[in-house]
Amino acid sequence: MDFDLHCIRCSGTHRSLGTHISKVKSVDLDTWTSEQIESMIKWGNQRANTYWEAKLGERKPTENSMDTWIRAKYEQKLWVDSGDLPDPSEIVVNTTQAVEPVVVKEKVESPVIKDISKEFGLLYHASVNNNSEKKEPTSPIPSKNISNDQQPSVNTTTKSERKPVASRPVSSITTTSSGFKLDLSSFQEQLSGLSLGRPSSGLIPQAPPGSNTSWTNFLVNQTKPSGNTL
Amino acid sequence: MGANVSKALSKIFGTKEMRILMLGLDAAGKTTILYKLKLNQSVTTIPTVGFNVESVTYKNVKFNVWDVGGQDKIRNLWRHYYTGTQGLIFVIDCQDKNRIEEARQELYRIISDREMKDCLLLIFANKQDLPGSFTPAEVTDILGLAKLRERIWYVHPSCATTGDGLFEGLNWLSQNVKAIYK
Repeated sequence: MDFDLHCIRCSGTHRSLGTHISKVKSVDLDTWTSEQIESMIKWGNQRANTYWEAKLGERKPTENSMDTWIRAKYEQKLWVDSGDLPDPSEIVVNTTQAVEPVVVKEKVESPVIKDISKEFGLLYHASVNNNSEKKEPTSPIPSKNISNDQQPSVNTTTKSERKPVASRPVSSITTTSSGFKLDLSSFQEQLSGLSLGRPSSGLIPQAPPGSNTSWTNFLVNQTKPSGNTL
Repeated sequence: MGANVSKALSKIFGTKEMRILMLGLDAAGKTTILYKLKLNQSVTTIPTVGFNVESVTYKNVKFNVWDVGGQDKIRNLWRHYYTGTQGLIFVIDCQDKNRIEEARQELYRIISDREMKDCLLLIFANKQDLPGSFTPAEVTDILGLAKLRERIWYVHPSCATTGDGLFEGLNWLSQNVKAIYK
């Protein structure tokens, strides 16, 4: 098992791979055992990539190919040199190279996503070196990739429709100060406040217009459920 | 009189409403299920911070489905969504065998709450497409559902990305809601 950091968008793809390939944990919202933290220190992105990207060369993913890229790298193991995961302490890392946070930024070009990863907390990905399952999933995977490539327009509409999910943390970040941190007690206060119809102070976004500032009212009053306001 | 007539008519023609709370460990597939039901699309989700809510109408029942983020530290917020819940959908990642015990503990924490004592329990044994996943029977066994008293429960296999099993689950909810709410 190796440990490395991912931004929130890539974590979504990693989650869809299944836990036999990737386990995703949030820095902010999950509890970490000391063992996991130690592994994180021992591994990190640079060491992990010497294994996962051994045969990669100079290629870089583009914004649109991220999903296919992640699957090629971790699921199909296209650029792995040997099947076995090395001991991280034996990996020589070129110290003149950029440090890890920059590696993460290289992968993520959208400024919005950068903000989320900064504020929400980075996620780690633990890849299980399981050779027995490596072969089996390859047949359904290319078809998934192909369907992704063939229907870029469908994917973009999906993303725009899914936007509200991502926009919650974003909007809360922009409306609060730079010192924003997800604080459970204030989140809870906000939630109970909203259910009583009190206006949001920004931690949770405002309810849509016509709902008297309360999400609860919105649900009761809405005539037609709408996918783009929620 | 008029009220009775309209009530009777709505019983025959109208739509019923059901408040559904969907919970489960992080990355179990809750948000994917929600948007598969709503949009019939398989979306790549990001971890839910907070909640998503959508209305899905199926067989004359309007399901208001609340999907609440399942990360470890935000599970304490689940209880704020309990009030008025008629059906709990608990989603299990059948491939994540290391965490099924954690899922069991969370499930029992939820259903032991006073506010949840009457609600239906639907368990989606999700990610059936992945290699080596638990079968619904194994899930039933590990979660110890057979020992549950005074609880209407049902385990259904599902695959959120293809949508297999999802509407069958909703169908079960709509058929059993009559049993407790008359």
